Amino acid sequence: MSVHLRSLRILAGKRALVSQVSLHILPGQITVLVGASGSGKTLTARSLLGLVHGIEPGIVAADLEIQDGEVIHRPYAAVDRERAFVPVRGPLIAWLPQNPRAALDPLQAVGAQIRDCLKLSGQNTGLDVAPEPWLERVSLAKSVGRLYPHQLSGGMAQRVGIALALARGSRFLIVDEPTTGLDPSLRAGILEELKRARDSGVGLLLITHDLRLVRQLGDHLLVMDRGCIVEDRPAQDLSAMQSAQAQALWQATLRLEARQ
Amino acid sequence: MFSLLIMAPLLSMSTAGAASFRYAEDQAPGIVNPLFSTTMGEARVNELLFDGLYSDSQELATVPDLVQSDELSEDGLTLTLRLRSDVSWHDGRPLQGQDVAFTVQAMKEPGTLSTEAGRVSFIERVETQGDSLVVLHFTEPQVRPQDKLTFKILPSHAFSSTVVTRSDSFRTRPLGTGPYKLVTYNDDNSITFQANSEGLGGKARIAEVVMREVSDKSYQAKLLLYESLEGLVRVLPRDLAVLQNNRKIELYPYQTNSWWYVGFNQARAPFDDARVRQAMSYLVDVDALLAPVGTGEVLSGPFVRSSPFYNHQVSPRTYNDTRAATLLEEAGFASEGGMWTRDGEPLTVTLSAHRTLESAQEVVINLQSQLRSGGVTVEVEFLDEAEWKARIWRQQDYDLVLSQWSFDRNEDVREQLHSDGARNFGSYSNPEVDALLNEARATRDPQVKKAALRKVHALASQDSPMIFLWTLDSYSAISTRVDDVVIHPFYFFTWVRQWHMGS
Amino acid sequence: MSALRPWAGVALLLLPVLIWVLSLAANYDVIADVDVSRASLAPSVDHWLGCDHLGRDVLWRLITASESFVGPSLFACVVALVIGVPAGALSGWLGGLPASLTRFGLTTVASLPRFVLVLLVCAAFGNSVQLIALAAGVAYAPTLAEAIYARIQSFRHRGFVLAGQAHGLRSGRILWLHLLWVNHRRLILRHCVQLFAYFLLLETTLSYIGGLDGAGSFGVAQPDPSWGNMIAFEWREPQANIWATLAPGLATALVLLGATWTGRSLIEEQA
Repeated sequence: MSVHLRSLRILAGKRALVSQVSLHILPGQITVLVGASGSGKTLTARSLLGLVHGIEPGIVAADLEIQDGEVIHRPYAAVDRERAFVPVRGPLIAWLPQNPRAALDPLQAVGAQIRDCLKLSGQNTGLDVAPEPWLERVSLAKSVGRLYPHQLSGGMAQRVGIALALARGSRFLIVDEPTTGLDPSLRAGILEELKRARDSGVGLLLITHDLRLVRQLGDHLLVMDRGCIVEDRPAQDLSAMQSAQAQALWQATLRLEARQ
Repeated sequence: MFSLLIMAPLLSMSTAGAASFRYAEDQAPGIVNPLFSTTMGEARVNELLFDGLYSDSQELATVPDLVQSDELSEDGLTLTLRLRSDVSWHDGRPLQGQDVAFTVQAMKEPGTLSTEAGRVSFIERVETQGDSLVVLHFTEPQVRPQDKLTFKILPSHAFSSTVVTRSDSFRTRPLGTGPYKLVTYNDDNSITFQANSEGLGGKARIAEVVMREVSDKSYQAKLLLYESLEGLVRVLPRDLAVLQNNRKIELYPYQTNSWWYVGFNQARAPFDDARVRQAMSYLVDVDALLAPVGTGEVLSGPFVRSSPFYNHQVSPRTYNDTRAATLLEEAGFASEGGMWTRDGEPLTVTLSAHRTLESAQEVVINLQSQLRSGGVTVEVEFLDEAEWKARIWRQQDYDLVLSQWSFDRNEDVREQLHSDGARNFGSYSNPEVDALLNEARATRDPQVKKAALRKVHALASQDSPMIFLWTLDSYSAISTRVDDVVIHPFYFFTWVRQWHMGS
Repeated sequence: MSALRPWAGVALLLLPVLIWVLSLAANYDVIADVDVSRASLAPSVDHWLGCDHLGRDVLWRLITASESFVGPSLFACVVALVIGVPAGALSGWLGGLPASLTRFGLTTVASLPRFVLVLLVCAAFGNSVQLIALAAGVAYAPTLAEAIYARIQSFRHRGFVLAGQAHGLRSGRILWLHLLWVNHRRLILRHCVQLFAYFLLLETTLSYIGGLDGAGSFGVAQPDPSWGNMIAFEWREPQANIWATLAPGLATALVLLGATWTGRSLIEEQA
């Protein structure tokens, strides 16, 4: 059970937005993808789900291999990619977009959305599609199920997003900037949820521009710059990073910490 | 917006002088040429422009107009006329015998296709002697041929041939001997006439007459109230109350020789059966039909009440549903759930009405309701002129029609009721009626004619080729600024010479 | 007042529908009701709104007139929905050539003034309320489609749509359930209310014009009642019972007011 992405290339016209990107997500591990804004992190993440088509013109070439027990999915190799991604989206890989509130249907109550995910996942078929346990799993009150997305705070929305992914029963989870705009205590809470998910065997791809997260929960580190992977190493001893871009990022993080 | 619409014509009309008499027509005459006139509006204009050999006195007796003296031969086959010598056309040329000969010949001419040809069919030929002596030779002996010689005389020098077409340029610059001459056709479709100083009996007292086209009838009364018109030819029943209460307007009642009817198509079932037709007339309450339309007199036959031919022994049918039921059962109908059926087929008929017939909607809805209560389903259709001509006249593809007939003083119903009559589109046929109509036309004795037509009245009432409805009371409305007004019931302007306008 | 307005609007809008049900149940005979002895009767206990100049009960005609627009206007709504919703939704969702083609077709229809389109259809195929309703539905469909197109296109790349896809929701489910039903049913409902009002106005206008010439060449023809032809039938009568013209006019105004209020509250809730 693992996700392997090799030699990803995304072109807009003749310009390469992403080139020669390879990454691997393993169950029970957190792979952290770090990079400045516009370095192609989100595009890389979305290519794992085949959801780049909305970005024009989006010519994608990739060798994506998703190993699911005995089955190996190679959606980009298929003739009908849209169809080939169907077993991948949801059951295997889930995605928590950057702004979690925007990721929720604005006119549907949270509980109903969790219930939809449960129905989709095929778990708890029959009567037991109650959203409450899943809310409790991400430390939210049961009553949150009756709220609409615009009534949620940023942290609550992020937790609901995680709850949705858990309810969907995905084996891998892509989390895009989960801590942006959250105060430190909420941040810690969210990181706790992610750790708990990892410990339950879910493989995570964490996208961030905050290297501190790597220290706190990373297993493997990737640094992206201008569409290329410039650093690919285990998440220990970050001071020993090779590339100049990664080093600059690391020094900046250290300065920030010192000031705080 | 609406007030602007009203104001526009008011402004344009206020320029007419105080001495002008302005009257309204629904539609401007399509053609000013007595050979081809078909509408009342055209007849009124003809009355202003032209004179006939004879005309009507105010007591509706025939009096000489262009004729000085006449003499009917013993055998009734020739009439010798001496024309007045003091009459000239609007262009100054004197009236001559050849004008009369030309007019008769043009009307008779097959190539002319005159709508008036029937009026001179009794004249075999016209002979002129000198300038002012005219001898008419008739096809059969006549008693009072003068009564039929009221048609308008045309100037022979204005035409190149007795074969005249509708498009002849005469229609744009008509030339007559009448009390008024046509001055201009105006851009707004109105026509201006000026008094003819050389006219019979001197110049007419009103200097100018203007015919205005006002197509919205309800608007005509408003123009009269706002003093933008001096005369209204026919007042709508619904405007009567308002005009009656206005001190500046006088209403003049007049008798029209026209009556309303519901005609049956006797060429096809179910109205080929006289019993069904009679039953229908018993199911109709004519008084109730008339009430929303106006006031008038209910008729029992094909003549107006004031006519000498009206048979007062025959009374109008009144509502009688038991009588109707008996007749329908005799004709093979049975009542099922209150509706009449024959051989399982419900009695459903279509009623056709002319789109322009005044108040037709009220009559139609009312009639539909009455017959529904009587167990007959009526479907309604309104036809415009072209559809009417095609469906009713040519194809005779209808069940019931609602319409009216208008007659001149002769009230000749032969065309309507004779089995070969040109207007008998209902295919009415009764040999006895045919014989009586022929007799009425042939006889020289007014008493015989009267007796024959009264019998026709009785027979027609019995046979019910149509449900005879009513004559409507008609009124003209004329401003009190015009004095000495006497209106001809048909031609309106016959005695216009004596009208005058106060200060 | 502003808090009551949505409810007042809905109540006024439901009024013709209730009247319609009442009319269908009561089965008043529009043909047989003529009785000239009751002509232009003022309101009384037997005839609450009096009678018209042929003695027909104004209240019953007012009620029965609902048959000439409630059913047809619902039909018009169905026509507009069947054409407008899929056209707008699919072209908004798919984009590209199919959208351009669909929108070209819709814009062509929309470029004709609606009233002219309806009159053209009447002139070409005859004059029946069902046909007018069909024409009105077709004429209104572009407006609905364009509104839905604009919304779907702007929602198309919202986060929750991508998230839904990432969760494995099928496109169809996202489009029909989440985008149209959950997020835009009010918009669609508002357009239906608008079309309902538009059709009422159209039918009333046509029947009024048709009633004026006395032959019912447009819209609903006498003796079948319509609020428009009731006004046309009475308004030139000098002795008319004033309620015979006032009541259908007021009824039209009230229902239109109800539609406006309902429509506005639907916009406000959506905003």
